[in-house]
Amino acid sequence: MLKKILVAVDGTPCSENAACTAFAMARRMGARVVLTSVVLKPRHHSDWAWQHFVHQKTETQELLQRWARIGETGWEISVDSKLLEGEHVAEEIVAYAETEDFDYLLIGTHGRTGFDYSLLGSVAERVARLSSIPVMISRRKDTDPRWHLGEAEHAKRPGEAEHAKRPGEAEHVKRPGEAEHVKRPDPEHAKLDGGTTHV
Amino acid sequence: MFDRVLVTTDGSELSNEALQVAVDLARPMGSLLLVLHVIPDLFYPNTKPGVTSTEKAVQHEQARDSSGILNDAIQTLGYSHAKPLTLEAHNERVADVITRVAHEENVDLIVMGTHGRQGFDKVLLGSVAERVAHLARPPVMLVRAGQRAHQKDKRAQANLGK
Repeated sequence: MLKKILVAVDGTPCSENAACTAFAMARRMGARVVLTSVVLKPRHHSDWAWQHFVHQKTETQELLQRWARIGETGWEISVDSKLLEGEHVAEEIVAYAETEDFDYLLIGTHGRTGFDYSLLGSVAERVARLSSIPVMISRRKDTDPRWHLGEAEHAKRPGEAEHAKRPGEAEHVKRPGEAEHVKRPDPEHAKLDGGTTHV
Repeated sequence: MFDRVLVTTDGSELSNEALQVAVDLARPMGSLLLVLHVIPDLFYPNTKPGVTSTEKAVQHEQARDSSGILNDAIQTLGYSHAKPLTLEAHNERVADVITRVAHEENVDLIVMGTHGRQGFDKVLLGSVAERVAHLARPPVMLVRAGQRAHQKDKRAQANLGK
């Protein structure tokens, strides 16, 4: 049976990494990916709140479409997207994942520790506590071009990894000497992937 | 990118569920599965100096049991591309040992069971999985207790509906 992976994105680098992890997994397992994001419903009735809500919905829709495109072209897998509306982010994600019978749920986290940890309630942690399906919490990875462009796309390298995330910007032209920035900084990791440095 | 998957076990029902999830993941991706059992340091944090001989004996006993736990785990897996690992925590938390192993072994994913306690229980009990999720660099997959049973129920219901 084809596995289904749900990945929650919100436009932060951490969630982008979660999306890339999901794509990589799907590519290896032959799974289907559904991207999701939650837009909070306005809690009071005012023109401003409504406008903000509508604006956020369009923005989020664009974000989802952009990432679906990255998955389809960059990783050559089938990606769907689903915009959720609700009052609580974690609850919405978990409810959707459970009703649609997903096999895995992926979400990014900042991975804060110490004081920050106690200060900030983490959505990822809440999702992990609520969900009855396996939750994968993904940390921000170092800027590896494969993660942001996709493995299939990586060979072609149309732009810089960082810039692939922001389609509003002009297409980045690679200059000589720039390769250092996109190299995986961790040499051990490079070794693990068969010694490829992707330059 | 998912060449090495680390899964932790302590021989409990919950960790068996985590193992099953890990195998389901590793099989299609052809990953090497590292099955880790960490023997907790019973006397950490140690408030008194020295450990009595009885306490040492208990710890020793635990260490002896562990090889059985791992062998059982790997037997039930039925996944040949697996490597057993046993470590003893000395003056440190289990979660810290798991995190260290994950980094040393360069794993791409950690799969762990968690009780997913909420409310008062959450305050009361520190979770190993939670600490690993916070400290480890690779992604951490948390498997909640009773997940598989829950999924089976759901599938069964879906089949009845058809």
